[in-house]
Amino acid sequence: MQLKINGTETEVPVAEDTPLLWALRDGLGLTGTKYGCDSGTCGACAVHVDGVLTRACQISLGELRRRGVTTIEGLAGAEALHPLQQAFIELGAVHCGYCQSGQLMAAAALLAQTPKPSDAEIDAAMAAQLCRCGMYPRIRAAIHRAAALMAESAR
Amino acid sequence: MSALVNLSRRRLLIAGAALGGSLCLGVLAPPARAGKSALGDSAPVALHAWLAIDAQGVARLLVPHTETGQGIHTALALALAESLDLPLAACRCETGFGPEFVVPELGLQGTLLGSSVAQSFERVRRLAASARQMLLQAAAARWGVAPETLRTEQGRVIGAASGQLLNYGALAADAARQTPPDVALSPYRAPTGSDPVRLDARSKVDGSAVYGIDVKLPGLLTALLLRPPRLGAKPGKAAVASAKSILGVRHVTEIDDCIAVVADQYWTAKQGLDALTVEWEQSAAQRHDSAKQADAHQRLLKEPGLLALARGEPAAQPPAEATLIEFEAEMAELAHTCMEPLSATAQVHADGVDIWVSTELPGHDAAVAAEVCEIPLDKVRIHPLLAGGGMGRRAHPQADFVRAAVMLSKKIQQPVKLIWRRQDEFAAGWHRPRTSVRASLALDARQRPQAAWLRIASAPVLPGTPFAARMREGVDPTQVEGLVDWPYALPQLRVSYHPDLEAAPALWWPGGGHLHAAFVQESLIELAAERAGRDSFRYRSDLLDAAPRLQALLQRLRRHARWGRPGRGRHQGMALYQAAGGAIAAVVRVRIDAGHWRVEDIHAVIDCGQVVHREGVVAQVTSGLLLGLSAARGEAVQWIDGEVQQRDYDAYPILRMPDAPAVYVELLDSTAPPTGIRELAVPVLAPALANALSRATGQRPQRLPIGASVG
Repeated sequence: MQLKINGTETEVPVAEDTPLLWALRDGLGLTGTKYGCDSGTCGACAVHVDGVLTRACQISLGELRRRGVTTIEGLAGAEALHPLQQAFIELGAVHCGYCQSGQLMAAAALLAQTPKPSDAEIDAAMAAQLCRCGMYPRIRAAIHRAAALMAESAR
Repeated sequence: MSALVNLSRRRLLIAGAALGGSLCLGVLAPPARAGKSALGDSAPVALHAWLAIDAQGVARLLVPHTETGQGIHTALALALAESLDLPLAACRCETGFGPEFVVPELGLQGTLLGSSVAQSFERVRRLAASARQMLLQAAAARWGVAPETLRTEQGRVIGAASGQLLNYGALAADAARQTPPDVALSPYRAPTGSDPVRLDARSKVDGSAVYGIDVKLPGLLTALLLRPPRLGAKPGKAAVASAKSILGVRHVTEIDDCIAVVADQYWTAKQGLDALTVEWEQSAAQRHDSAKQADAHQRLLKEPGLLALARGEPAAQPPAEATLIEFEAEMAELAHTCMEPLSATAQVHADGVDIWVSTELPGHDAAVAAEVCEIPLDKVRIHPLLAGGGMGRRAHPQADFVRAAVMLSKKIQQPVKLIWRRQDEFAAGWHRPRTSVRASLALDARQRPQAAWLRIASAPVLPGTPFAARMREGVDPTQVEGLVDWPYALPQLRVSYHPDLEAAPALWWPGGGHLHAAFVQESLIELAAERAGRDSFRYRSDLLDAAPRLQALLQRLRRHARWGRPGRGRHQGMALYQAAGGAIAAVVRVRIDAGHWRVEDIHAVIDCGQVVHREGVVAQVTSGLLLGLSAARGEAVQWIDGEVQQRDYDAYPILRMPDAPAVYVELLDSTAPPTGIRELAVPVLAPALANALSRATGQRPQRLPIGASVG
């Protein structure tokens, strides 16, 4: 079926009951969205569906008719890097990196709703995103930094 | 001392490199391994690291270590840039593979049992310094001047006369004809200015980084496993027709004790798996049970055990009349659960086998694959990829997930990617073994430690691994490590090991035996300080007369953490740990709130030798401390009647952001060789936390995990 992925109408050559995660990875070769648990407990596969943070392992392709999906590959849009990606690099929030796509998508959804989040708001919004490397303090700092970068460029 | 060898004119098979016009240098690692060499007509040789400088002046370093997040590629690229005098932007570092690619400390290729930076730092610097000298000599020959009159500057050789300036790339082919000189190394100069970011950061934030699980090949199939309900059970009658009838399911086949469903993609394979009905033959099933194991450990600890370590002449048992501090630790079995699930892609073909995998032990995986395919070792090609965490789980004595992928590809004669689902890793065993320790510390009349007795029960992990020869008469050194570095004045120390040979299969875990060594040591010392009515820092410092660096570490931490001023309703606890040539001390600050404890912040000071990449070290220490917190807080694998109760993150709570404290790390300046970091940072956390909670609640945690609630 057809799906709008990262702004482009795309034919996805897998069955409609396929979870979005595997439609992306196996059907389209978009491997930036990561598999971690298949049960929605780790957050590694987080994407945006019409701008809403969604676990790609928990929604099937058939449920996505006429909806737009954004993955890590499309997070920056026309820019080279999203301010969050820039901040994650600058503040060393990257370690093994496997959870990063999900962290970034969750953080982007947060900043879209709450442009200047408090620590508590970040913790609440990011609680579902596991990082086995324990980069949490750096991810928290990077989200603050990205919020500042975005506020700066909005002025 | 390792020797350098000019490989420029040899037929290089390593990483498929064919680099005409390049300067290629290798570090030979003694002792050379027996066996046929892949370097063609050369003598058998063990290669530790390999450097090529091409005609464009780009330096490519191949090392035997896997990037699992620890930053090894960035650290070694920095060492290369510094000693070669080349901008970091022109330096690459990758994981190579070859039968000769050996880490001398391990005897094969792997990233395990110690620090990869410590193993490689000096060798890479010598390689780079030697290459730089060869470039200087090549320029000197071309200009007809003495090499001493020349200097290098960021990728160029510059002469005294005007116009004498050549890029490394233009000299590489000439330099390749030189004999590698042995150059005396100057002290390492860390990069000035702001710390460079990790080389792999960009690809990891834009989704383009390729991990083992991300491999794409034409015609690649995906395999999933249906695993027996208990270890040792075997498939009996299986109804496979409904699985096979699913469009896209290609094969349903037995692999060892599992049934594999092979399909054109993951989702189809998963549906095939769900459609299987299998009766399991369970007469040989193992019925591991954590509660029974805890009782068994208590029995084991009453037996004499095996003498693992003796300092002074301690009695076998603590004397009855001594003033004794007693401590009994029970530490639960721990799962690795790296974020990237275990996975391997294998393609068996007429000329051998290719394997794409995130592995920490490619040298061993290759040997296992050669055995499975009944082919010589040099017909196995491993393509090492980024790992989404390692933690030792990607280094398995039977190469479990790699072996299964190779067996499958051999069986179906097609390339196949085997993916272990999250539950597979939990159910398969091979976790950090449950560990019980009984410890006594005798104090003298001045309340100073006089003698300590430690009895350690756990499953040995080395038997059956490539490192089995390190076992010492039944004692697994990885289960009693760290205590040999007991830092405080202590005339007598006796450590006995009580091997638990009935346990579920066990594997290394970050920090190894240091986890229980640090927990027991620092709980005992804190108890002794309490008994003496002394401050935690002062009591320890007084026992470190012979260790001025440790005293400096403590002094630095005391200021850094504002010791003694925890703030209202907050409590501090500290711990010091020394191992593997380095040391760390940490203060944990906790707050009790509505029956739960929470860590507010962690301050740590580490002495880990020469710092190659400051930012990388701070990240590693932070990571280790929070892994220690995660484990001490809530991680436990529990077996009941042969079945692992935890199959996913909901039942195995690893640390999440709301429970992650701020972490402040300081590094002690040092010119000593770099040391490991994980064996310091992971172990120090639990005792520091326990000492804080003990102060906050009046109850001393002896069991790990502690759990999130108090009282």
